[in-house]
Amino acid sequence: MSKKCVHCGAELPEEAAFCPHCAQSQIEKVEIKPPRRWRKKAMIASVCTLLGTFVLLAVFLYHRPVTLEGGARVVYTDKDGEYELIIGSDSSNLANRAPEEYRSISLPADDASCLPALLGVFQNGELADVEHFFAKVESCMLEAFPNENGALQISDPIYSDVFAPSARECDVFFTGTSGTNQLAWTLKMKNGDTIRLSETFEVMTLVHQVFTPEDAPMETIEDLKALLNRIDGEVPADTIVDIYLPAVTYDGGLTMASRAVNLYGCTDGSGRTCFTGTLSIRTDSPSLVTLCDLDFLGSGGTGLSSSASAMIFGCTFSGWDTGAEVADGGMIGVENCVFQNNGTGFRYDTANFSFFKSGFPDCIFENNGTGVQFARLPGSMPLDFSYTVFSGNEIDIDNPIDYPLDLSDALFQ
Amino acid sequence: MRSAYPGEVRIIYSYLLSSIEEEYITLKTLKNSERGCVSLLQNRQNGTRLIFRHYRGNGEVYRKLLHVSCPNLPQIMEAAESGGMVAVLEEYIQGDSLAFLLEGALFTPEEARRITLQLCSALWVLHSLGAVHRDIKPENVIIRGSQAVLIDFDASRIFKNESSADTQILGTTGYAAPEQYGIAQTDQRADIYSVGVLLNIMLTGKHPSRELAPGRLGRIVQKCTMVNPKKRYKNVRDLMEAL
Repeated sequence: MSKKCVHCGAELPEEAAFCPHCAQSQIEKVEIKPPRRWRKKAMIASVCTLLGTFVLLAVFLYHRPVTLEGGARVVYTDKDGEYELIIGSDSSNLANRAPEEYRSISLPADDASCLPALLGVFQNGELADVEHFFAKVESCMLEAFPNENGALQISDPIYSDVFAPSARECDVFFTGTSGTNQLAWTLKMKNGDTIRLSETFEVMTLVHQVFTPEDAPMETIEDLKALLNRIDGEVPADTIVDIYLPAVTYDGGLTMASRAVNLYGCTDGSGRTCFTGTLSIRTDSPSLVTLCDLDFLGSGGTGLSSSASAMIFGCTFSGWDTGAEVADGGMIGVENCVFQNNGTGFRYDTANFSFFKSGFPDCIFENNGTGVQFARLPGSMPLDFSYTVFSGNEIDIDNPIDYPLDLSDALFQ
Repeated sequence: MRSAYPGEVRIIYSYLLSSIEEEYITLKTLKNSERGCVSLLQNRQNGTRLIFRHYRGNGEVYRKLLHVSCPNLPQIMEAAESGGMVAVLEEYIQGDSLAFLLEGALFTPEEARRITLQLCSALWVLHSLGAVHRDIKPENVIIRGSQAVLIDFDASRIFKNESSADTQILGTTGYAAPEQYGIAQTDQRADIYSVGVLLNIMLTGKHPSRELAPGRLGRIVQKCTMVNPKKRYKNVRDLMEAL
């Protein structure tokens, strides 16, 4: 058996691997190379790269911007240590580092109101250095969700010592139909971190119930006391009660002890509704007591004393040692009222903060020993003295505690 | 790959010898010993130069190399056996032997490392075929351009696990591993021993037992030349990694 050379055609034995005539190989040779040396190095490099990637990833994960989402309390850690952020609506709760994740307010459908939303920052169980903390904050905002149709209006966060120890405060304006929303604080830190806190803010629509002289006897102070007792027993607590009083003079004192009731004096021209005894507001209800168009005519003593929140409109105080007085735990907003011939027209004597201090717009202080006296009043929120007239008082304003006042629009005659 | 049957090998053997007689002229006898001779041939027609080996021994390694090519090994053109005699035609590697170059100067560590790596490449091919060279020395390394080519597989044998000891003492004194002197069966680690000696010779001009090369390459030499084969690099790949 023989074959021919693939190059020169010479006759070769079948098994020949080589043609001796042309010196060419007859077989296809397989090139063999050792595994590339760099494989191990490449593997090592790959492992190193992988490890490096893990390290970088770990570093990135450690240092990457984080988003902390909590309820009313979040613990945030940065290079300066651990911060505890707490939100709520009450300064004293905040002082106790008690977060408020839920609050429910009742308001008549057609009423509007405002409450504070507070943010406190603590470190090591103590108040943090707020300025230092907020120097690290890129932005701070409070938003409401879903806030359909703008049910809640929120002011920009500010620092106000009125709400100390709060680090930031926003006013949340709402109506009786605002419904339930989430109030969400978002703090974007300059290092990219984000902190979110939220609380449920529920507004329940209060139902109004009106009492007129046709509905219940209210000719005497005893009738009024009986009516208040009846309301306490019969009317649901979340119902707003308005009592429209006749043009009578009530002799003797009246204490509003359990629930808030609004009293409206007669305005039909038949005369005025008058109290000659002290009206004490001592309710434990968060609802505001509204007093409108009432005359407090005294002969010493105190005309109105409130340790709850109240607003008075169109009322007159005359002949009292103290026309109206804010006692511990209370606050009275006054508008369009007249204080005449009293020892002291209006007196602040409370050790408690209150979320509102309206001042005395469109009020008249006339012929009093002292117009307005500041015995005790925490905070520094300026009071509204716009178009407040002081006339014939021995002392218009007695302010030994140096409560900050803006009297630029007050009228001294 | 297909190896020729013994009968076929014998046919080729006769054919090869007669063809060489007819088609080639002997330019030079490179080696002549009791075992055989090595000649440089030239094709009468086209002038191609080839190496012709004719010796008594085993041609198994050459037959296996017939089918492979490697830049660090000569191409084996034909390999035939008959009656204990082996006839091999192989590529003529034109260049200077390492022995010749070492007469002039030593190699730099980088040159020595590169040459050793190339020898390892050649050995890797041999070892992967189950062969052991058993005669690695400067005379058997030809520098062709930038490539070191390992030649002369006359002492080579196919490693067989069942053998407990080599039957013949082969190799070159000084370069041969201790086990090649009949102490134990020779395997690829014998070649690693020889490569270690060669590397040391390239760096110092001396056997490592007299002067070990300094530094990292010296440590590699040391590991290559451990008396106990188990303490050497276990294969050329490990040695290449170390290099």
